[in-house]
Amino acid sequence: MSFPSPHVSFERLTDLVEGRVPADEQPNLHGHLAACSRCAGDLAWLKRAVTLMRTDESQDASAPVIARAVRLFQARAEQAAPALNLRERVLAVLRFDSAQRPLALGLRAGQAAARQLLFSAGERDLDVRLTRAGDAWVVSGQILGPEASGEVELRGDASCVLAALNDLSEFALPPIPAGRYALLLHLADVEVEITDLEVGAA
Amino acid sequence: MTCTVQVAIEMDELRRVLYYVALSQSKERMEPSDEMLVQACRRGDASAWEALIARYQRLVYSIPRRARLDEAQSADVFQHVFAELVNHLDRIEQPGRIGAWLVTTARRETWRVSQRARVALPWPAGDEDDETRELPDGAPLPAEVVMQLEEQHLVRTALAALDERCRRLLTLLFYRPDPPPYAEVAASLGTTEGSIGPTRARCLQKLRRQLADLEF
Repeated sequence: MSFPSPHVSFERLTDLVEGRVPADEQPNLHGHLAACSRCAGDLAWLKRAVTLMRTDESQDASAPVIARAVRLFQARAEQAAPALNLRERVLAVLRFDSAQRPLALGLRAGQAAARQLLFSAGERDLDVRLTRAGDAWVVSGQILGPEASGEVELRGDASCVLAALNDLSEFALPPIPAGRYALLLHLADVEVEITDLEVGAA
Repeated sequence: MTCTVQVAIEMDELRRVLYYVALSQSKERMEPSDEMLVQACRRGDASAWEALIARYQRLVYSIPRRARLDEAQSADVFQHVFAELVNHLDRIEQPGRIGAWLVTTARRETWRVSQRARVALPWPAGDEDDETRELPDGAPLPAEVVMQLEEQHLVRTALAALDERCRRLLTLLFYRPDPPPYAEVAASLGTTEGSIGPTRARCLQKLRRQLADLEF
Protein backbone atom coordinates (compact mmCIF):
# COMPACT_ATOMS: atom_id res chain seq x y z
CA MET A 1 0.00 0.00 0.00
CA SER A 2 1.43 3.39 -0.90
CA PHE A 3 0.45 6.87 0.26
CA PRO A 4 0.45 9.93 -1.96
CA SER A 5 3.47 12.16 -1.43
CA PRO A 6 2.76 15.16 0.81
CA HIS A 7 5.07 17.24 -1.41
CA VAL A 8 4.43 19.20 -4.60
CA SER A 9 5.80 17.34 -7.61
CA PHE A 10 8.84 18.73 -9.42
CA GLU A 11 6.69 18.92 -12.54
CA ARG A 12 4.09 21.09 -10.79
CA LEU A 13 6.80 23.34 -9.38
CA THR A 14 8.20 23.73 -12.90
CA ASP A 15 4.69 24.65 -14.10
CA LEU A 16 4.63 27.33 -11.40
CA VAL A 17 7.98 28.76 -12.51
CA GLU A 18 6.78 28.78 -16.11
CA GLY A 19 3.52 30.53 -15.14
CA ARG A 20 1.42 27.55 -16.22
CA VAL A 21 -0.53 27.02 -12.96
CA PRO A 22 -4.11 28.35 -13.12
CA ALA A 23 -4.75 31.28 -10.76
CA ASP A 24 -7.36 29.38 -8.70
CA GLU A 25 -4.82 26.65 -7.84
CA GLN A 26 -2.04 28.98 -6.81
CA PRO A 27 -3.19 29.87 -3.23
CA ASN A 28 -3.12 26.20 -2.19
CA LEU A 29 0.28 25.73 -3.77
CA HIS A 30 1.74 28.83 -2.13
CA GLY A 31 0.20 27.80 1.20
CA HIS A 32 2.10 24.49 1.03
CA LEU A 33 5.32 26.20 -0.10
CA ALA A 34 5.20 28.57 2.87
CA ALA A 35 5.15 25.59 5.25
CA CYS A 36 7.39 23.08 3.42
CA SER A 37 11.10 23.81 3.28
CA ARG A 38 11.80 20.93 0.88
CA CYS A 39 9.35 22.13 -1.77
CA ALA A 40 10.43 25.74 -1.19
CA GLY A 41 14.04 24.65 -1.76
CA ASP A 42 13.12 22.85 -4.99
CA LEU A 43 11.24 25.93 -6.18
CA ALA A 44 14.15 28.23 -5.33
CA TRP A 45 16.53 25.99 -7.30
CA LEU A 46 14.18 25.93 -10.30
CA LYS A 47 13.78 29.72 -10.29
CA ARG A 48 17.53 30.19 -10.08
CA ALA A 49 18.31 27.75 -12.90
CA VAL A 50 15.56 29.00 -15.20
CA THR A 51 16.49 32.64 -14.59
CA LEU A 52 20.13 31.89 -15.40
CA MET A 53 19.09 30.28 -18.69
CA ARG A 54 16.59 32.99 -19.65
CA THR A 55 19.04 35.82 -18.95
CA ASP A 56 22.03 34.13 -20.61
CA GLU A 57 23.35 36.57 -23.20
CA SER A 58 26.83 35.07 -23.38
CA GLN A 59 28.39 34.88 -26.81
CA ASP A 60 30.59 32.38 -28.59
CA ALA A 61 33.91 33.64 -29.85
CA SER A 62 34.07 33.47 -33.64
CA ALA A 63 35.79 30.52 -35.34
CA PRO A 64 38.84 32.58 -36.47
CA VAL A 65 39.33 33.91 -32.91
CA ILE A 66 39.21 30.38 -31.52
CA ALA A 67 41.54 29.08 -34.24
CA ARG A 68 44.07 31.78 -33.36
CA ALA A 69 44.01 30.73 -29.71
CA VAL A 70 44.40 27.07 -30.69
CA ARG A 71 47.55 27.97 -32.65
CA LEU A 72 49.09 29.54 -29.53
CA PHE A 73 49.81 26.02 -28.33
CA GLN A 74 51.76 24.86 -31.38
CA ALA A 75 55.15 25.95 -30.13
CA ARG A 76 54.59 24.31 -26.77
CA ALA A 77 53.39 21.05 -28.32
CA GLU A 78 56.50 20.95 -30.51
CA GLN A 79 58.76 21.63 -27.51
CA ALA A 80 57.00 18.94 -25.48
CA ALA A 81 57.39 16.23 -28.08
CA PRO A 82 61.12 15.50 -27.44
CA ALA A 83 60.50 15.63 -23.69
CA LEU A 84 58.00 12.81 -23.98
CA ASN A 85 60.64 10.65 -25.57
CA LEU A 86 62.72 10.90 -22.39
CA ARG A 87 60.25 8.67 -20.68
CA GLU A 88 60.20 5.01 -21.55
CA ARG A 89 57.75 4.30 -24.34
CA VAL A 90 56.51 0.75 -24.59
CA LEU A 91 54.56 -0.82 -27.39
CA ALA A 92 51.98 -3.27 -26.09
CA VAL A 93 51.82 -6.77 -27.55
CA LEU A 94 48.52 -8.59 -28.03
CA ARG A 95 48.31 -11.83 -25.99
CA PHE A 96 44.64 -12.69 -26.17
CA ASP A 97 41.66 -11.67 -28.27
CA SER A 98 38.23 -13.14 -27.55
CA ALA A 99 37.26 -12.51 -31.17
CA GLN A 100 39.91 -15.00 -32.27
CA ARG A 101 38.55 -17.80 -30.09
CA PRO A 102 36.82 -20.64 -31.92
CA LEU A 103 33.04 -20.42 -31.54
CA ALA A 104 31.30 -22.89 -29.26
CA LEU A 105 29.33 -25.61 -30.93
CA GLY A 106 26.00 -24.27 -32.19
CA LEU A 107 27.00 -20.56 -32.12
CA ARG A 108 26.93 -18.54 -35.33
CA ALA A 109 29.58 -16.10 -36.37
CA GLY A 110 28.64 -12.40 -36.32
CA GLN A 111 29.68 -9.13 -34.77
CA ALA A 112 29.91 -9.69 -31.00
CA ALA A 113 28.48 -7.17 -28.55
CA ALA A 114 31.61 -7.39 -26.41
CA ARG A 115 35.22 -8.23 -27.05
CA GLN A 116 38.09 -8.73 -24.64
CA LEU A 117 41.76 -8.25 -25.43
CA LEU A 118 44.79 -8.77 -23.24
CA PHE A 119 48.06 -6.97 -23.98
CA SER A 120 51.49 -7.22 -22.38
CA ALA A 121 53.50 -4.04 -21.96
CA GLY A 122 56.76 -4.40 -20.04
CA GLU A 123 56.02 -5.45 -16.48
CA ARG A 124 52.31 -4.72 -16.81
CA ASP A 125 49.38 -6.37 -18.57
CA LEU A 126 46.49 -4.43 -19.97
CA ASP A 127 42.98 -5.88 -20.00
CA VAL A 128 40.87 -4.05 -22.61
CA ARG A 129 37.13 -4.51 -23.16
CA LEU A 130 35.17 -3.26 -26.11
CA THR A 131 31.45 -3.20 -25.39
CA ARG A 132 28.74 -2.21 -27.81
CA ALA A 133 26.40 0.50 -26.50
CA GLY A 134 23.75 1.15 -29.15
CA ASP A 135 25.50 2.55 -32.20
CA ALA A 136 28.65 3.38 -30.26
CA TRP A 137 31.31 1.42 -28.38
CA VAL A 138 32.65 1.75 -24.87
CA VAL A 139 36.34 1.03 -24.38
CA SER A 140 37.12 0.14 -20.76
CA GLY A 141 39.68 -1.92 -18.95
CA GLN A 142 42.22 -2.31 -16.23
CA ILE A 143 45.99 -2.25 -15.88
CA LEU A 144 47.24 -5.36 -14.15
CA GLY A 145 50.58 -5.65 -12.38
CA PRO A 146 52.43 -2.91 -10.47
CA GLU A 147 50.23 -0.06 -9.25
CA ALA A 148 49.61 2.51 -11.97
CA SER A 149 48.16 6.01 -11.95
CA GLY A 150 47.68 8.37 -14.85
CA GLU A 151 45.39 8.82 -17.82
CA VAL A 152 44.21 6.79 -20.77
CA GLU A 153 43.73 8.38 -24.16
CA LEU A 154 42.06 6.96 -27.25
CA ARG A 155 42.94 8.72 -30.49
CA GLY A 156 41.12 8.21 -33.73
CA ASP A 157 40.61 10.11 -36.96
CA ALA A 158 37.19 11.35 -35.90
CA SER A 159 37.42 11.57 -32.13
CA CYS A 160 39.79 11.65 -29.21
CA VAL A 161 38.66 10.80 -25.69
CA LEU A 162 40.41 10.80 -22.35
CA ALA A 163 39.80 9.18 -18.94
CA ALA A 164 41.67 8.95 -15.65
CA LEU A 165 42.63 5.65 -14.05
CA ASN A 166 40.78 5.08 -10.78
CA ASP A 167 42.37 3.71 -7.63
CA LEU A 168 41.99 0.14 -8.95
CA SER A 169 43.80 1.19 -12.16
CA GLU A 170 40.53 0.81 -14.08
CA PHE A 171 39.27 3.14 -16.76
CA ALA A 172 36.13 3.67 -18.84
CA LEU A 173 36.27 5.98 -21.83
CA PRO A 174 33.23 7.86 -23.18
CA PRO A 175 31.39 6.06 -26.00
CA ILE A 176 33.02 6.38 -29.42
CA PRO A 177 32.03 5.34 -32.95
CA ALA A 178 33.48 2.18 -34.50
CA GLY A 179 36.82 2.71 -36.20
CA ARG A 180 40.58 2.37 -35.93
CA TYR A 181 42.21 3.95 -32.86
CA ALA A 182 45.48 4.23 -30.96
CA LEU A 183 45.22 3.63 -27.21
CA LEU A 184 47.79 5.49 -25.12
CA LEU A 185 48.44 5.07 -21.41
CA HIS A 186 50.13 8.07 -19.87
CA LEU A 187 51.57 6.62 -16.66
CA ALA A 188 53.97 8.28 -14.26
CA ASP A 189 56.97 6.21 -15.34
CA VAL A 190 56.09 5.02 -18.81
CA GLU A 191 54.04 5.64 -21.92
CA VAL A 192 52.32 2.54 -23.24
CA GLU A 193 50.95 2.52 -26.75
CA ILE A 194 48.59 0.18 -28.55
CA THR A 195 48.97 1.36 -32.07
CA ASP A 196 46.20 -0.26 -34.01
CA LEU A 197 43.05 -0.97 -32.07
CA GLU A 198 40.12 -1.88 -34.28
CA VAL A 199 36.91 -0.97 -32.43
CA GLY A 200 33.70 -2.50 -33.70
CA ALA A 201 35.41 -5.01 -35.98
CA ALA A 202 35.93 -8.77 -35.77
CA MET B 1 40.97 -24.18 -7.82
CA THR B 2 41.13 -23.23 -11.46
CA CYS B 3 37.36 -23.45 -11.69
CA THR B 4 36.86 -21.13 -8.67
CA VAL B 5 39.19 -18.53 -10.08
CA GLN B 6 37.48 -18.74 -13.44
CA VAL B 7 34.04 -18.15 -11.86
CA ALA B 8 35.35 -15.21 -9.86
CA ILE B 9 36.80 -13.61 -12.97
CA GLU B 10 33.60 -14.12 -14.92
CA MET B 11 31.44 -12.55 -12.18
CA ASP B 12 33.78 -9.60 -11.97
CA GLU B 13 33.79 -9.28 -15.74
CA LEU B 14 29.99 -9.35 -15.84
CA ARG B 15 29.71 -6.70 -13.15
CA ARG B 16 32.09 -4.40 -14.98
CA VAL B 17 30.60 -4.88 -18.42
CA LEU B 18 27.11 -4.21 -17.03
CA TYR B 19 28.39 -1.12 -15.26
CA TYR B 20 30.06 0.32 -18.35
CA VAL B 21 27.11 -0.48 -20.59
CA ALA B 22 24.70 1.15 -18.10
CA LEU B 23 27.01 4.14 -17.94
CA SER B 24 27.13 4.53 -21.69
CA GLN B 25 23.41 3.95 -22.13
CA SER B 26 22.61 6.74 -19.71
CA LYS B 27 23.71 8.89 -22.67
CA GLU B 28 24.96 11.49 -20.23
CA ARG B 29 28.45 12.27 -21.41
CA MET B 30 31.57 11.87 -19.32
CA GLU B 31 33.98 14.66 -20.01
CA PRO B 32 37.58 14.84 -18.79
CA SER B 33 37.92 17.10 -15.76
CA ASP B 34 39.64 20.49 -15.95
CA GLU B 35 42.53 19.04 -14.00
CA MET B 36 42.96 16.19 -16.49
CA LEU B 37 42.94 18.62 -19.40
CA VAL B 38 45.51 20.91 -17.80
CA GLN B 39 47.77 17.94 -16.99
CA ALA B 40 47.46 16.73 -20.59
CA CYS B 41 48.28 20.24 -21.86
CA ARG B 42 51.40 20.23 -19.68
CA ARG B 43 52.50 17.10 -21.52
CA GLY B 44 52.07 18.98 -24.78
CA ASP B 45 48.78 17.38 -25.81
CA ALA B 46 47.27 19.67 -28.43
CA SER B 47 43.86 17.95 -28.35
CA ALA B 48 43.54 18.70 -24.62
CA TRP B 49 44.34 22.34 -25.36
CA GLU B 50 41.57 22.46 -27.95
CA ALA B 51 39.17 20.85 -25.49
CA LEU B 52 40.06 23.43 -22.84
CA ILE B 53 39.44 26.28 -25.26
CA ALA B 54 36.16 24.72 -26.41
CA ARG B 55 35.04 24.44 -22.79
CA TYR B 56 35.85 28.00 -21.79
CA GLN B 57 35.75 30.07 -24.98
CA ARG B 58 32.23 31.32 -24.43
CA LEU B 59 32.85 32.38 -20.84
CA VAL B 60 36.16 34.10 -21.60
CA TYR B 61 34.79 35.92 -24.66
CA SER B 62 31.63 37.04 -22.85
CA ILE B 63 33.53 38.90 -20.14
CA PRO B 64 34.87 41.70 -22.40
CA ARG B 65 31.61 41.73 -24.35
CA ARG B 66 29.62 42.31 -21.14
CA ALA B 67 32.01 45.16 -20.35
CA ARG B 68 30.96 46.69 -23.71
CA LEU B 69 34.25 46.09 -25.48
CA ASP B 70 33.70 45.69 -29.21
CA GLU B 71 34.38 42.48 -31.13
CA ALA B 72 37.98 43.35 -32.04
CA GLN B 73 38.85 44.40 -28.49
CA SER B 74 37.14 41.31 -27.09
CA ALA B 75 39.09 39.12 -29.50
CA ASP B 76 42.31 40.75 -28.23
CA VAL B 77 41.34 40.05 -24.62
CA PHE B 78 40.53 36.46 -25.58
CA GLN B 79 43.89 36.04 -27.26
CA HIS B 80 45.74 37.58 -24.32
CA VAL B 81 44.03 35.27 -21.81
CA PHE B 82 44.93 32.08 -23.65
CA ALA B 83 48.47 33.31 -24.39
CA GLU B 84 48.86 33.88 -20.64
CA LEU B 85 47.55 30.39 -20.01
CA VAL B 86 50.14 28.84 -22.36
CA ASN B 87 52.87 30.77 -20.53
CA HIS B 88 51.60 29.86 -17.04
CA LEU B 89 50.51 26.26 -17.64
CA ASP B 90 53.29 24.79 -15.50
CA ARG B 91 52.88 27.29 -12.68
CA ILE B 92 49.14 27.02 -12.08
CA GLU B 93 48.87 25.55 -8.60
CA GLN B 94 45.26 24.37 -8.76
CA PRO B 95 44.59 22.97 -12.24
CA GLY B 96 41.10 21.99 -11.10
CA ARG B 97 40.29 25.69 -10.68
CA ILE B 98 41.43 26.72 -14.13
CA GLY B 99 38.02 28.30 -14.78
CA ALA B 100 38.49 30.77 -11.93
CA TRP B 101 42.00 31.56 -13.20
CA LEU B 102 40.69 32.26 -16.72
CA VAL B 103 37.90 34.50 -15.41
CA THR B 104 40.28 36.52 -13.24
CA THR B 105 42.73 36.95 -16.12
CA ALA B 106 39.95 37.91 -18.56
CA ARG B 107 38.46 40.38 -16.10
CA ARG B 108 41.83 42.02 -15.45
CA GLU B 109 42.67 42.29 -19.15
CA THR B 110 39.19 43.62 -19.91
CA TRP B 111 39.67 46.35 -17.37
CA ARG B 112 43.10 47.21 -18.83
CA VAL B 113 41.74 47.40 -22.39
CA SER B 114 38.74 49.45 -21.20
CA GLN B 115 41.04 51.97 -19.55
CA ARG B 116 43.18 52.22 -22.67
CA ALA B 117 40.09 52.63 -24.89
CA ARG B 118 38.76 55.48 -22.76
CA VAL B 119 42.02 57.36 -23.02
CA ALA B 120 42.65 56.67 -26.69
CA LEU B 121 39.21 57.14 -28.20
CA PRO B 122 38.12 60.73 -28.76
CA TRP B 123 34.44 61.49 -29.12
CA PRO B 124 33.58 61.90 -32.80
CA ALA B 125 32.70 65.42 -33.91
CA GLY B 126 29.06 66.31 -33.29
CA ASP B 127 28.61 63.36 -30.98
CA GLU B 128 29.52 65.09 -27.70
CA ASP B 129 25.98 65.08 -26.31
CA ASP B 130 25.10 61.55 -27.31
CA GLU B 131 24.68 59.96 -23.90
CA THR B 132 23.37 56.75 -25.41
CA ARG B 133 26.70 55.97 -27.05
CA GLU B 134 28.11 52.79 -25.56
CA LEU B 135 31.72 52.86 -24.52
CA PRO B 136 33.55 50.86 -21.91
CA ASP B 137 33.04 52.72 -18.64
CA GLY B 138 36.56 52.01 -17.41
CA ALA B 139 35.37 50.38 -14.19
CA PRO B 140 36.08 46.73 -13.52
CA LEU B 141 33.22 44.43 -14.43
CA PRO B 142 31.12 44.11 -11.24
CA ALA B 143 31.67 40.91 -9.27
CA GLU B 144 27.98 39.99 -9.42
CA VAL B 145 28.02 40.18 -13.23
CA VAL B 146 31.09 37.94 -13.36
CA MET B 147 29.47 35.53 -10.91
CA GLN B 148 26.36 35.40 -13.08
CA LEU B 149 28.49 34.64 -16.16
CA GLU B 150 30.27 31.86 -14.26
CA GLU B 151 26.96 30.36 -13.14
CA GLN B 152 25.59 30.56 -16.67
CA HIS B 153 28.74 28.80 -17.85
CA LEU B 154 28.11 26.00 -15.32
CA VAL B 155 24.51 25.62 -16.48
CA ARG B 156 25.65 25.40 -20.12
CA THR B 157 28.34 22.86 -19.16
CA ALA B 158 25.76 20.73 -17.33
CA LEU B 159 23.35 21.07 -20.23
CA ALA B 160 26.03 19.93 -22.68
CA ALA B 161 26.47 16.74 -20.65
CA LEU B 162 22.78 15.77 -20.99
CA ASP B 163 21.39 13.51 -23.69
CA GLU B 164 20.40 15.06 -27.00
CA ARG B 165 16.65 15.02 -26.28
CA CYS B 166 16.94 16.88 -22.96
CA ARG B 167 19.48 19.30 -24.39
CA ARG B 168 17.19 20.27 -27.24
CA LEU B 169 14.09 20.52 -25.08
CA LEU B 170 15.64 22.71 -22.38
CA THR B 171 17.31 24.91 -25.00
CA LEU B 172 14.01 25.43 -26.81
CA LEU B 173 12.14 26.18 -23.58
CA PHE B 174 14.57 28.28 -21.63
CA TYR B 175 17.22 29.82 -23.87
CA ARG B 176 14.74 32.23 -25.35
CA PRO B 177 13.52 35.42 -23.71
CA ASP B 178 9.89 34.47 -24.44
CA PRO B 179 9.00 30.82 -23.89
CA PRO B 180 7.40 29.32 -27.00
CA PRO B 181 4.03 27.50 -26.85
CA TYR B 182 4.33 23.78 -26.09
CA ALA B 183 2.72 23.00 -29.46
CA GLU B 184 5.65 24.70 -31.20
CA VAL B 185 8.20 22.86 -29.02
CA ALA B 186 6.44 19.53 -29.63
CA ALA B 187 6.51 20.12 -33.39
CA SER B 188 10.24 20.93 -33.29
CA LEU B 189 11.00 17.75 -31.35
CA GLY B 190 8.58 15.52 -33.23
CA THR B 191 6.67 14.57 -30.09
CA THR B 192 3.25 15.17 -28.53
CA GLU B 193 2.35 18.33 -26.68
CA GLY B 194 1.27 16.28 -23.64
CA SER B 195 4.74 14.79 -23.21
CA ILE B 196 6.51 18.15 -22.99
CA GLY B 197 5.57 18.94 -19.35
CA PRO B 198 6.69 15.64 -17.78
CA THR B 199 9.80 15.38 -20.00
CA ARG B 200 10.79 18.97 -19.19
CA ALA B 201 10.61 18.23 -15.44
CA ARG B 202 12.67 15.04 -15.80
CA CYS B 203 15.28 16.87 -17.87
CA LEU B 204 15.50 19.64 -15.27
CA GLN B 205 16.09 17.02 -12.58
CA LYS B 206 18.90 15.54 -14.69
CA LEU B 207 20.32 19.03 -15.09
CA ARG B 208 20.16 19.47 -11.34
CA ARG B 209 22.17 16.29 -10.78
CA GLN B 210 24.79 17.39 -13.29
CA LEU B 211 25.00 20.80 -11.64
CA ALA B 212 25.36 19.21 -8.20
CA ASP B 213 28.45 17.41 -9.56
CA LEU B 214 29.76 20.82 -10.63
CA GLU B 215 29.16 22.16 -7.10
CA PHE B 216 26.46 24.56 -8.29
